Amino acid sequence: MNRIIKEKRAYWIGGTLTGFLGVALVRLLAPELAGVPGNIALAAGYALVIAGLTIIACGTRRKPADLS
Amino acid sequence: MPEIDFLYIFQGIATMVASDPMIAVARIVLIALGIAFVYLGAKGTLEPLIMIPMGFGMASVNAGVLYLSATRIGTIFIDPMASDPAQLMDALQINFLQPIFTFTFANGLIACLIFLGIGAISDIGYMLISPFRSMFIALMAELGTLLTFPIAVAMGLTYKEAAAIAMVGSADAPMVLYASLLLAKDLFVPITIVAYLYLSLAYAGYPYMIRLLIPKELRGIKMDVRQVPNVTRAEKMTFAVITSTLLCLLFPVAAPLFMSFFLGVIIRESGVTQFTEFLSGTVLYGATFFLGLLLGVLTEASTLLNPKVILLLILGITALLISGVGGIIGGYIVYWASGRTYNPVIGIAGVSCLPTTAKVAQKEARDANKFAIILPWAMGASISGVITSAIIAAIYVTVLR
Repeated sequence: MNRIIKEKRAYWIGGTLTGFLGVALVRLLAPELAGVPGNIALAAGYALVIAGLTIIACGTRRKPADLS
Repeated sequence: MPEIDFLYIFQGIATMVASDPMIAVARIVLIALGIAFVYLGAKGTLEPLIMIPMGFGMASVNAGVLYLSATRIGTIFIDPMASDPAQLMDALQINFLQPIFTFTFANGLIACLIFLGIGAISDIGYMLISPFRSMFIALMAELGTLLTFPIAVAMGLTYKEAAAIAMVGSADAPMVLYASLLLAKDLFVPITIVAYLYLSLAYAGYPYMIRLLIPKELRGIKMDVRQVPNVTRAEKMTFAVITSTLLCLLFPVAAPLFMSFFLGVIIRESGVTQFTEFLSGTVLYGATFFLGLLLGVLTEASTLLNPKVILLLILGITALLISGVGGIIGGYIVYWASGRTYNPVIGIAGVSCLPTTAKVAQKEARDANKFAIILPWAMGASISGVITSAIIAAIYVTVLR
């Protein structure tokens, strides 16, 4: 189990950081920018949150060998 | 001996005679409809958990109209419009269901309680089997929620009313209740009733849609059960915590719903069986019972004589149909993208309504091929549907409120 956690740590940390970066773009940066840059920041932020969650979810995948 | 006025004794009938003929006819129709709902619920044609208390409440409230004063007619069930503190205090002491309405309905608590229960019965591990596909299908199954909005605006509803009725497409009745309370409080009763009525019908109607749109050989595609990963409790809990935190940060207006759903998930995974049983039993079914009863009691004749109700009926079914078609299109896209190994029937499960649509999907697949097991993937799409519905509701409320 510890081996699996070590192997998957990058997914969990990377996914979480990506997600929070997305939140920062949406809630902090986008409101400060007007017009097109603001919309781009908003869209990028939402995309990063989804990407972060997907990365974390990918970290839960197992190879058959992991299950033994 | 004083002269007895029998109409005064039987005030339910007296108020019918004294009221506007349209109201009297509507009351009789609603009493009959309420009895029909109880019958169809008990028979299993409509969802019994909602329809039996709702139908009974509907029949009772329209029968139990009395003279509140010499000139005022009403009931002693509930006053949904009481808002002034003095008026509300009176209502709380007179109307027997007023405390439940004021303290659980008017603030959206009942939707959160149902979400707690839904979370406690949801195994988020199913969503993690193929998260991208599940979320993609769930997003496609929100097509009705998105497309019904401009249609409703074109038909004359305000933006807020249009968004509230469009939420029926999410097929998530607590979400519809939550969104309509925030966006269109005057219409939340008919909108929520339309949602529950159609969701009951969807259970019966979606199988026909699946058979119409997906040929039998595709409905019977077998999925590889060995793909299902063994996700640990710790992983599920961590995923739930991070996802809930991110979604609450992004959409604070729907934070109570996200928190309730993911708290249910975490309690389930924490292994505290007493809490899990409490949430998935007492809380979920208690909230569902009172939701049905209060919706029935709120269905007074005057409420449904609003001319907008016909529009809501049309838009509600439109939203659900488009969402169903959207989900199946999503299923087809994943089927093509996966090299024709993915069963497109799973698409219908993206229309949330956990766990009904997932069970419908599994039943249709098994009818086409008795060895086809798609329930884990369908549950994943359905759980994703709950999350996407909350996101869409949050976007509507944030932008329009």
